[in-house]
Amino acid sequence: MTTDEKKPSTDINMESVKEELEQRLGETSDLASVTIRIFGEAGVFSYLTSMTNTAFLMDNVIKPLTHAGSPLDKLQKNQWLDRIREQYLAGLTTETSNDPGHFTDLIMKGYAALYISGMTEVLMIDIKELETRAVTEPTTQSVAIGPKDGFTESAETNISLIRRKIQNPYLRFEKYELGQMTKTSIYLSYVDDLVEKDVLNQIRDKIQERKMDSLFATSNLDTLFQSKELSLFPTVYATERPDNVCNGLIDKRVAIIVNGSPFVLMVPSLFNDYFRSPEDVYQWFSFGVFIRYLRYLSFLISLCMPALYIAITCYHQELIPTLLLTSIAAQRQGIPFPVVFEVLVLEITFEILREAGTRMPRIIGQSISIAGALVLGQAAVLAGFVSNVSLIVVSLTVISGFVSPIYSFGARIRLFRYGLIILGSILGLFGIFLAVAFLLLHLSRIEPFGIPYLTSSLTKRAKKGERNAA
Amino acid sequence: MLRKGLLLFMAVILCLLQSGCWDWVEVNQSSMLTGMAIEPGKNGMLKLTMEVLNPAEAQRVQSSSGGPPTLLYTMEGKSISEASSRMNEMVERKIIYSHIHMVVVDESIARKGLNQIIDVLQRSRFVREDVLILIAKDTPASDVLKIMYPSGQYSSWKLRMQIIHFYRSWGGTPKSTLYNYTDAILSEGREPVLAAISVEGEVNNSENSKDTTSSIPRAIVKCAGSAVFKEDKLIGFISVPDTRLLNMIRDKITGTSFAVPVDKKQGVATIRMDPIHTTMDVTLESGRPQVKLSIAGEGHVSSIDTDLPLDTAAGYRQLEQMESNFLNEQVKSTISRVQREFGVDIFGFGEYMNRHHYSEYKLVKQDWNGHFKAAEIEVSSRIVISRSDLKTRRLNKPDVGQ
Amino acid sequence: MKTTRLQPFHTFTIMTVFLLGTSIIFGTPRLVEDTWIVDLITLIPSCALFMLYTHLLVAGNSNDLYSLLYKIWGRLLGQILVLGYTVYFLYIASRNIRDMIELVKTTLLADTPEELLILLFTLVIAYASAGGLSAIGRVAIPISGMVIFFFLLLAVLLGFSGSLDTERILPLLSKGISPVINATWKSTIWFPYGEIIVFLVFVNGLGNPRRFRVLGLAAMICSCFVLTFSSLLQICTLGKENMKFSVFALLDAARQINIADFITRMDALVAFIIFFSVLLKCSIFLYAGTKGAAFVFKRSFKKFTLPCAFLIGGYSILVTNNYGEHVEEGLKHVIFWLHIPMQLVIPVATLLLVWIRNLKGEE
Repeated sequence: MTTDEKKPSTDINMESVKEELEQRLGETSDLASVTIRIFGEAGVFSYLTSMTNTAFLMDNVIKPLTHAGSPLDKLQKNQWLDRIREQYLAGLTTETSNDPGHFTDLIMKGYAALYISGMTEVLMIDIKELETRAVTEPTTQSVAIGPKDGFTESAETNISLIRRKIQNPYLRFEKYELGQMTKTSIYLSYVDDLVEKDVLNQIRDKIQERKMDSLFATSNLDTLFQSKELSLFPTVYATERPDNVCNGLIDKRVAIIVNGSPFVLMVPSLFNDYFRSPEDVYQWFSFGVFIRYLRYLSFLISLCMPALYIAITCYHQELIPTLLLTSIAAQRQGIPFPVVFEVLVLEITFEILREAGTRMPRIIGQSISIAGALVLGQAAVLAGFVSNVSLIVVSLTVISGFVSPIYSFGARIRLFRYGLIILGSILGLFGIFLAVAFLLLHLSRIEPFGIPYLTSSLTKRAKKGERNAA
Repeated sequence: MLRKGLLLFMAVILCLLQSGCWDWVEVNQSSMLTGMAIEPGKNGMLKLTMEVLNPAEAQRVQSSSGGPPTLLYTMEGKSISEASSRMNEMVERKIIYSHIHMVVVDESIARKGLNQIIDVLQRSRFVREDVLILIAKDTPASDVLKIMYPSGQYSSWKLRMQIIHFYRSWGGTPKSTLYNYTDAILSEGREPVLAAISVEGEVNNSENSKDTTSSIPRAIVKCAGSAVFKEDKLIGFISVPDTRLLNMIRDKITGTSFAVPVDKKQGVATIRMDPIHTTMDVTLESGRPQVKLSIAGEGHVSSIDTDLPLDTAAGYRQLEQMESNFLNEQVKSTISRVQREFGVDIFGFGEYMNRHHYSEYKLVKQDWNGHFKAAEIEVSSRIVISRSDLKTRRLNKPDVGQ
Repeated sequence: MKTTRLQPFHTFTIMTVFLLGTSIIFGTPRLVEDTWIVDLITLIPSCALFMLYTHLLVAGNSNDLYSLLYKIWGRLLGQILVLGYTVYFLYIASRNIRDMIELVKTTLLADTPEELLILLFTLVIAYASAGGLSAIGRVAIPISGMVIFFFLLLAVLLGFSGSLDTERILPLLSKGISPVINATWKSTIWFPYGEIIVFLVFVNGLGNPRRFRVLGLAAMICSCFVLTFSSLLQICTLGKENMKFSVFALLDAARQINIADFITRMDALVAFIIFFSVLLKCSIFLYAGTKGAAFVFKRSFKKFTLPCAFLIGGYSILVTNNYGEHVEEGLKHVIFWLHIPMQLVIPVATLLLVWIRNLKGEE
């Protein structure tokens, strides 16, 4: 860190700039240094080819500058840069700097550094252009009806996607930088006159306090916003859909955009958020409501179904209608395993299939489903290893687990399910009651950012608060 | 704190797993008890015949070997619960009691009193209150369970369905569940009745599954009216037609058909009544109960043997009148038969009085059955016949014989 | 810790479920046949009792029972009384657990050791009560929703299976009105309505005394209707005579459900109702008890949660030897020796003292 000790303002010159850059960036192949002559003075352009648009640089920066005459002669040299900025580079984001540390940082972000010999400062010109993915349909949260745009890896694009939907002067984007190694920029987005100031301040504090080395995806931030107490349910909502985020912003939430991740986080997230899909409001109202309650139902099925199946068939046969019990008993004749074992094996098989299906190259995916469905399912039943009923129960459970619009939520439920299965297989219905009571209590005890997890919506909560106060 | 809590939780779960599952019943190692027959055994013991389901045969989902859908086991014991808890002396599977459909009680046991049988059924959480309690008339109770039927139906299921449907279509069997029995026993001024069943044909030739291949059943269980009780003791039986009228008087009938005589000869008109309701009023006049029954019903003609002009209002009126008279007569004769032969109030006149004229009932509460014997019955009916199905009059050539 | 006040709706539901609690299952003690009239009549004296409690707070110018006792009775007596209430609350909680365990042992799990069931249950109520009033209040909404929903479901299913017979209500008051009034005085005022005294401990979290009074009365009226409805339901399904013999009247009623031979055996619903209402009730008692201990020993109430929970659990095993003793104790001794002193005598005495002090203050 010897460079920092230098006094930059006095001994900045062509050689020192070059040296500085070479020292900091090393022999990286994407560093371009072009010497040019402007107004009769020698100058050097330095930029990273990987971060910038070279054609743009040629057309809009180098061409005007080299074609310029020499009206600058009359000016003092220290006014040159201002003149250049105003006259030749108007409309581009520019900056001047004499701190080598600072301008190397800017170069890393896609600025071009122009040094003209004899100047005391370096002119930084923003010519960044990154290879970004086009705005495409989101892959994890698709809808049948409604906007099809999804966030991309570029924070700027994401911001524009949001801004396009909320044209409100109070919409704010606050920029922070996190990660000592990666210097990832993150943006807090909120609607200034709606957002809960208390929550916003807590988030700001957390971001500023937090030290981390690297940050590539929003998932790294999850831990930052989890509440201090143990929480089995997700309290940070990650989405790929701009309309989701916009709904959240209007409902007093704060969105966190991380450059480089197509997922945008929203805090505080509530239990109900995980059952809402923006599609609900794009359809006929009653149908939307029906679908939403269907999601709650499938959440319950996915959570309790196998446990209930085990508890009732093994502990409370009296609860099953006679004919149904006869049918279950008939199918279970000769099955060598107890029900719990059967269900657990099936569940784990499904988990393996699912995991394989996600990680597999798409083309092979087909064969997985054939192997899974036909070979395992059919053959296991025919061979008398598992009963049809168990297979039906587990399949229904697995399918219901994927109904939640948010993937991370469904993933958590799958884990609780095993807990319920174990309790249900030891204590029957009583065990399931215990587990359900525990989950309910747990839900009512989680308070992300001081807002109860079971609140239905922040707007309604605020209205209620006003009524109570009055 | 949190970690400690988690550790504690884990420890508890581990302890649970160590100690095992106390109430665990594996379905494929257990069998359902579906029916039970109770007969007197040796030395004053009870002889229990248990009908245990063989699910793979009863529910033919997969290829079955054609074995019997149920197996019968016989045990003797001092009480039902003693005998049934010793079932595993001869059965290899754990018995699930919760799906029992019916208990068939031998006539001789019922005459001694049902209370010792009923208590175990009421107390057990497994036995539902809608288990049928049936009295085997003129046959040993176990014979009822022995008969096999084609199509894999086992006797208790067949009998349950039979009783339900007979009740719905004709009303010829009383409501005979455990709950109905206790309800009657506990209520003031009503004595219980239970359905009676009897076996017709040769039981010995229909115990084998080979016998079910014949299209004419060799033996069959049929409903045989009701068993009348005084307190918990059987005192006699009433016939199927009387049972229907009993149901009608108690307003517990869903629909039935009456064959109303329409001329001096054998001619009848069959009238399907649905719905039919009875309201009663029982008062005390100078110490003697006055029962007023009014029957109101709506029906349609399902067959007719004479040329009643069913295309005119007068014809309908005539038929309605005939049916009303017929009903009044039938009801009166049924009640007087019960008054004469049994002298117990199975109709619930006392119950009605207790509910609606409590102060009067208090006077006769001590000896209600005695008062019942002397009760004066008055019946009035108002029958509406609303249509005659597809045809008007009986088909005949109008001018023949003129 | 920040004291968050409950929203009025939460306060209302928490009190309603508390009152419904165990009594919806066990029904009004069947001292007389017309239990539903008892339910209705009880409302009046219970409301009076409740007005007495709220008046006590207003007159004593205090926001919770413990500090009021402390202020009025002085340091030593106050501490003794606060501890007395603590023990009283924990004792009722353990009796409630016992009630629930009795039902579970008879309907769900016959052979499983009750120690284990109680241990797990107490862990759950400790978790609830450690969350404080706001957590209990929030969880009361889904619990009350489920309890009321399942209860109505039972009623509807009973109606569909044709088990309801309104004639069974008759004859009305066959033994005159006096046994009914007697039953009111002897039991129903004190249980469940009198138990509402536990809420005096945290009026602070529920709103000011005036709002507390309004909400409390609303909750009492609401639960009175539900309980009356429940009694009527039981009478119409089972009949008065039959009801006298049943241990869990609502359970017996639910067993009558049969729709097309498929929807049968709704026993699980009843077990569900009692499990969750007892859960809520016990966590309220436990919370009140730990608050009392915390008040006397000047520690955070969370320190007492787990020990008190285990105390409740352990005591619920020891409290009685058999069901007969349990019922007899509940109907006779507890009412006379615990409910009446704790729910009537001490509050009235405190109120008298408050008046005397206020008079002196004025002079």
